[in-house]
Amino acid sequence: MKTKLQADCDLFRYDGEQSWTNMGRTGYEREIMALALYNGKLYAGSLPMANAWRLDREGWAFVGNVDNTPTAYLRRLWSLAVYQGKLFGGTLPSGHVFSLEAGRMAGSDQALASGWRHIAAVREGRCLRLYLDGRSAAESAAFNPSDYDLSNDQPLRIGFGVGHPFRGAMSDLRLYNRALVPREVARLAAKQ
Amino acid sequence: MKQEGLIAYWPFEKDCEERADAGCHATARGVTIAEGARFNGVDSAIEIRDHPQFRLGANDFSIAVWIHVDDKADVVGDLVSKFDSEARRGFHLGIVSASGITSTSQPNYRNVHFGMDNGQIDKQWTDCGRLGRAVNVKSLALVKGQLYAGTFEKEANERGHLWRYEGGRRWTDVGATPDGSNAVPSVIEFDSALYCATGRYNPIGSSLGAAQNTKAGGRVWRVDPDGRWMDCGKPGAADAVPDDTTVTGGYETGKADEATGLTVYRGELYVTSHHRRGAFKYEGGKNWRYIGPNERLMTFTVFQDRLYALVNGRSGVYRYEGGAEWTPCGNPESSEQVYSAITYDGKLHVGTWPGSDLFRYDGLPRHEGGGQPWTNMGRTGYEREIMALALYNGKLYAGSLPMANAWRLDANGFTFVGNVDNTPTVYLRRVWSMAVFQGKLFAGTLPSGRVQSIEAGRMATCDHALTAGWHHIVAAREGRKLKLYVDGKLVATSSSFDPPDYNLTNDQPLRIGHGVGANFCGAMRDLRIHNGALTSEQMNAFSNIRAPPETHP
Repeated sequence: MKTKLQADCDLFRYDGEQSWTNMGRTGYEREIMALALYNGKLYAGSLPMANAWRLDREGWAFVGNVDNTPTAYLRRLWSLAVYQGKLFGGTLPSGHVFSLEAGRMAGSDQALASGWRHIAAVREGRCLRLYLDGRSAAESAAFNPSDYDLSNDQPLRIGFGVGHPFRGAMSDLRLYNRALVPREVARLAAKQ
Repeated sequence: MKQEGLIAYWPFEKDCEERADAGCHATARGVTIAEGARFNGVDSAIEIRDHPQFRLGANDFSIAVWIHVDDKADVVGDLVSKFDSEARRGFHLGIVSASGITSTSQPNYRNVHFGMDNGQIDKQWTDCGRLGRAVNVKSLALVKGQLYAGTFEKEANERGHLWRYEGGRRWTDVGATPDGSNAVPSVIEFDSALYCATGRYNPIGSSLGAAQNTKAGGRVWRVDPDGRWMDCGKPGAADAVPDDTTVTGGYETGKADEATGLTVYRGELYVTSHHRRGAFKYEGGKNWRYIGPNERLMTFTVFQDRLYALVNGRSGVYRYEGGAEWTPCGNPESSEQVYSAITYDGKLHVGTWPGSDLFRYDGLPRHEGGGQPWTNMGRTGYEREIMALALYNGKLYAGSLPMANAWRLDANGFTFVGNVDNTPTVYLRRVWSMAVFQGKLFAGTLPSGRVQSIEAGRMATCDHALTAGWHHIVAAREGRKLKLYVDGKLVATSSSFDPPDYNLTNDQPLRIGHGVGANFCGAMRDLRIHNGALTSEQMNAFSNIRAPPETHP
């Protein structure tokens, strides 16, 4: 990697060994701080403007200013976490946390225990629901169904996709064209 | 004859010595005595060590002097100062011309600035309003004592406008581009008239998307007092790529569709065209002559009676040699665009992209010796680019991208002096233009399209261009105000202040003919420093006695 004259706020992809690929720069910023994988996309927070960015095919898309304190010339989007289906960002110098919702998500927000687990993800009417081991674990904020036509020409991917490749074992994968009711989910979970 | 209250007196008749028995000795270099003390505008200087007589405290004082402004001297320079730059404590008096301020180029021309400070500055910038539907204030310039602005408008049915400031947040629309283009990138006073340039600004460079109004500009106009815009031609159009040709691949389209950087140098008008190479010199009517260099230029600056071109690229700065000859002055290390320039502390300074570094030019001799002629003076925070620059009340100020912050150069680098545009919906904001007017620093921004002002210390500024010839200048601290008299007439008064806030005593030398900005170019005689304000009788007496040679043959 070539040494640069000034910090450039670049995102690099690690390709193994000592190989790094520059994936793009966030606007005119100096530093990429917090990063998040949120609803299928990579998000970044930057310095000095404390802006938020989303990595798209053609580069970074600006997704808003998170700390706009006018009395400081250095603002940071230091921390990012995904919680209750939203992306949360912690900033300097305001000391505020802000959140943003893109699409809809149901996230369990609990660390998944080791061992065999049953997961059911259901789009049902105006919300997404997530079941763990037959029990309801999370549901998304409500939405207008017609806003979410999910048809696309992408392949169905199993065991890899938007984030890290799957490590573990999988069995009894089913896809339904209707919402399962809780009793059906419980029955499927009980089969193990 | 020692008058009451006279602290020091330099007649400059036979030498540079003080003649009021102040008991101080002047060290002069490069000053010749011929119809007063003549300063060369480069390195002439008189310096007097700190002396109890010059510790002015919070008291009234007056400075009276005759100066000769040489016919085609664009930069006149510093007259008298006793200013501690780091503490921002003391006073200064000088004739300020600022050039190289991005596309405006020359916001201030031969304005008389009398300032004092004691480390005071407004807590925040004051909003002076949005200019119509402007998205950028591309030019701010003083013309015949008034502040004008040229703007960029973004929508398909909008044109660039020229505005005149009326105080508060009020602006008067002086008209839109007759050629229908989206911007007025440059405004200037030339030949006692207002000239401006029009352009097809490409807002992609400011992350505002493609231009909605695609009409070409590229003309220079004289705007007459009756409001008519007189076409003065289209510099560089003859051999340019036609305006309506589709060109891909960046900003250098070869089209003459955005005239910018209007600059007066030795009584003549220069301009560049933003999307093609070279500079152009006005030959009257609608005629412009190409004078090189073979570079895309950002703007010009005048320093020590020489014209310099700032390059939009990695070629740095060129000095004009006349004809179509230019001498390269080197590229400041790491600079990819030289955006702006200002003369400060006797030296030329330039603002650059992408490091947001300010560089000081140390001159060609060192360069010819193989050394780097540019010294890095510091970076503005975490910004990418230094845009507008100003010499304001003894200090260098800079505006930056992407946060649109303002900065002041201090001994330890740049000090943050506030955010000027805080529009949260964009990630690129600019402080594009700056001008000193009515004792305040004005700044124009993108994307708010607003002008903001700030006051540091107090200044009385004569916002008209000082004409050539002999002038009598009196700068007086009088009670709660600073006052400036030119040729016996009161021409400017500062905003009021509380006298104890301004104890000006410092241990710096008294400087004559040099100081905070450019070295003085011209002649000086009969310089007096009084403790206490001058009475009108004294003033009349001083401006009549010792009448300059040209008025008393």
